[in-house]
Amino acid sequence: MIGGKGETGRAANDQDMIDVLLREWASNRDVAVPPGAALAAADAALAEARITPASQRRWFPAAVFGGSVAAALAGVLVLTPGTVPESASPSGEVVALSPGIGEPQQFASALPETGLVAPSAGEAAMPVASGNSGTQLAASDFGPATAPPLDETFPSFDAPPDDLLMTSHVFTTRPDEELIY
Amino acid sequence: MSDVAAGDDEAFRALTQVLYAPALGTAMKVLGNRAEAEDAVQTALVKLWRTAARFDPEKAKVETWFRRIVINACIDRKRALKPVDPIDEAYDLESEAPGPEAETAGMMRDARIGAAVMELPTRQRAAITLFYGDGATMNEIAEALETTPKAVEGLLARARADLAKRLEPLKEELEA
Repeated sequence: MIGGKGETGRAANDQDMIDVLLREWASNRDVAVPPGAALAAADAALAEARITPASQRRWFPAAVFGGSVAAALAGVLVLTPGTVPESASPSGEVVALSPGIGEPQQFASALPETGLVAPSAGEAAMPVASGNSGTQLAASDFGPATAPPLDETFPSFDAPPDDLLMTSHVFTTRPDEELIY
Repeated sequence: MSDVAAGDDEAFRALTQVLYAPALGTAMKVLGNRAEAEDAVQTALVKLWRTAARFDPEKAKVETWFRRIVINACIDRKRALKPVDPIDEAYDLESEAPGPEAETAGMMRDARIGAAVMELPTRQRAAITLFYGDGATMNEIAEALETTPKAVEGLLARARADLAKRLEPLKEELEA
């Protein structure tokens, strides 16, 4: 019979038959277990559980290597927070470009004059970053009154420092902009 | 179970004696191979020992909880293994000659159904085993397979439709 209730009924019967067959198959779990097999399995499981899992052993070297790399990277990032731009003085001595930069301790000594609370002994004993960013952070923390004045003196063109020389060296005119004499 | 969680070896051995045979039966239905089933149960026992402290008797019976561990061990094992046909899986009954294990009609029928079920994906097989063999509810199967009851309904529907096609010759023989 094609179509109609007959087909639906047959499909239902098929489904029932499948269900019966599957139930019979899935319920039949007569597994012959030799005597002592369960105990042996328990002992083997206990022995296996008490050794280091293989997955941990496998990942241990990778964890050591990864940890070392992470520690090295962290060390590089923490210990070099940024260097003070330095320039050689005419005498050849290396000096900081801005006055006061690199000397954060002077802010702490200036605090009583500004009326701000002075850092505790513990804070004073803490290492201070020697970089430029560390200094600026300290200045902003203690207010603008303690910030060092900016060096606004214009460099002399008669005796140009290295920076100006470098600027003129890098920013040369392009060929089409060259002056024709 | 609390003794097992406390690290009592004897309690673990006693519990294993109760759980081992049913677990092996379930694993054999899912994996279709005794050696693999024994390995899966072994893995499940190790996990039982290690995670016994997490067992909550108010949420499930020990048997249900362990069955879930076994099913997961079977699925993990099947996933890890390459699809190979073991030598002792010669019950693919294409051959006309009945083997010693297929001497009776019932055994033959079981073997044919088993062979058809083995063609299903592992999760469908596990769902079929739990639904028909253990009478597990959709929620229990979903918990065991770490999915939703709705997804389990889908798994079962697909598995039944697939098996209906595969077992068509067997049905015709039974109806004749």
